[in-house]
Amino acid sequence: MESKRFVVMGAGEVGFHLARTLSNEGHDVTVIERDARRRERIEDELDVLVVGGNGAHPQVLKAAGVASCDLFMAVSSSDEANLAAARIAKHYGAERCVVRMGIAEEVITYRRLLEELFGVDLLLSTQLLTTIRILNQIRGHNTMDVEYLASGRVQLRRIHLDAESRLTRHPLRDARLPAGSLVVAYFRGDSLVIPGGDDIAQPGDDALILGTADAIEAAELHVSSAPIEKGTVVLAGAGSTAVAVAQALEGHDVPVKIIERDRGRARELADQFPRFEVLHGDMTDISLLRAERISRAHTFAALCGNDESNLMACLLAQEEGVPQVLALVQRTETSELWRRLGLEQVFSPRALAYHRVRDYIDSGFSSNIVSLRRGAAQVIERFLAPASPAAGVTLAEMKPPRGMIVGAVARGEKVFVPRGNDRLEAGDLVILFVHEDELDTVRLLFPGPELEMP
Amino acid sequence: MRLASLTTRELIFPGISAPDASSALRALSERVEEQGRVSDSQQLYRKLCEREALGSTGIGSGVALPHCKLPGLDEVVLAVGISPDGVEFGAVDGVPVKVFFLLISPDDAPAAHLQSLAAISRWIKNGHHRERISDMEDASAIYQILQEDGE
Repeated sequence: MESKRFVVMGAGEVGFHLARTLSNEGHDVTVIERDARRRERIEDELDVLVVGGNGAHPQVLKAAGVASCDLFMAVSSSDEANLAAARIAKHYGAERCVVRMGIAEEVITYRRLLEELFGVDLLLSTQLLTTIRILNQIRGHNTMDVEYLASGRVQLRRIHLDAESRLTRHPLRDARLPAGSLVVAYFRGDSLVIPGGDDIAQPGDDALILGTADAIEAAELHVSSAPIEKGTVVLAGAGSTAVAVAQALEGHDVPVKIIERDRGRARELADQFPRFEVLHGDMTDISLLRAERISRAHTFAALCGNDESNLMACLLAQEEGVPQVLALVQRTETSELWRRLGLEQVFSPRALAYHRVRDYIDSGFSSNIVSLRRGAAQVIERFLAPASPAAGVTLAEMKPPRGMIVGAVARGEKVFVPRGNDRLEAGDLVILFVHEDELDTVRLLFPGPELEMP
Repeated sequence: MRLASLTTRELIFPGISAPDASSALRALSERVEEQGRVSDSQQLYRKLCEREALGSTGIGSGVALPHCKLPGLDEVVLAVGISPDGVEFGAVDGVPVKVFFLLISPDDAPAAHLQSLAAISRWIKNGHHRERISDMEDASAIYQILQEDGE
């Protein structure tokens, strides 16, 4: 990659590593950091320009030279400051902006809105990245990436396929995906293939599967070859990540136990998850773990905010013979130590955020999971206005060509994958998967702003 | 679909001169009314503006496809306007529009409307149609091109 200009706001773990690797590769990097001690560390260790102050202040951004940067990365620990800084940086002329946020829920529901309002090109949630990875590990799935559409009511998943998958053994028309889901494309090496009914995926392909929130899990199971593990999943330490994981597990036929130290919090969780068993107690208390027959669990996930407690609990669970033990680790630099103790599955939210931003940079600034191979195809969400040509037309009448897939429709409370006889109506939110060749036509037939207002 | 089947020679207007987008739409609406294809050019103009408000129909390279549905129409009507000087139309590529494909459909025929629109869009995308049309000043010659290789 030719040399580019990067500005990083926030020299915490994510920002520091981004600044270090980018400057090592010969790029021009400026770091904004308000904490004097952190600034000192950067000046000692890295060959970058350092600007002091609050990145949400225009004069600080100006001094950092955002006006001429190829990418502005707001990765401080303050969501609000990151969003504000991105908006101001864009105003001054920054080419692109990355914003890191904490809470997954916000990013799932309001991503498009926030991206539009604040001029964000890539909005990521450390918690969401972590939750997706942990869920994958718990369920033994192959989801490489997830994009949330229609405020989270529809998902697009990129799923790795092996030789045992139904999609690599049968033509698409015989693969019988669950209602409410469909295969929109296969990634094969560097190319994107939009399959017809006769096409069979090849082992090693990634399938892009679109589905309603209710159907996508079943669709993933349907194309996955791994057997479903039926044992109990134990979530220890019920912080926000554990809650996000628990929510995702609600739709599964899997027993879940949650261990939480705080009595009030435990009671709240018991109300929130009536199907799950919520235990009040200390996750590092061996007698509690034994009394609860933890050894019979399939997965033990230590997800509290304290690394030491997570480590202790994981070692105990490992000792008790739980086959799969995983943990959340805040301090990335210690993860090597964990591995030496035999704990392979450690998830560092900051490391995941760092890798996500690196992927974005290394892919040539392509944020959409669909357009990883730049421009090949994209996902478009549109509200149908009464004057929209597509309003009032059935799918069969539309005769969409292969490069234009009407993937899902959100109508009031209902979300569905439309079939031939379904008629699109004014007021519908329509999710389209469009190959670049059909983009002009789709813009005509489905006019309107990209902005979604949940 | 052969585009010529949607239009007639009388609906091809080579000399549209307009200072801006709304004047161009107004001029096209009036010409279509003069040919007796719609009864109320004001209504047509308003409907076209309503559609443009969702996003310009200027698809780039000097071509626009303004369109709408109208009550009381018998069939899909295609008119073609040529504006040799070009009109600022808010097109995706910012290029002034020289060729207008104006499509009007009965409001109870949304499928025919959409199919015609898609056909015109693909016809323009294929081959060198738009380059050839934008240089022409003669309605018959343009009509001739519209008869070529429809899908």
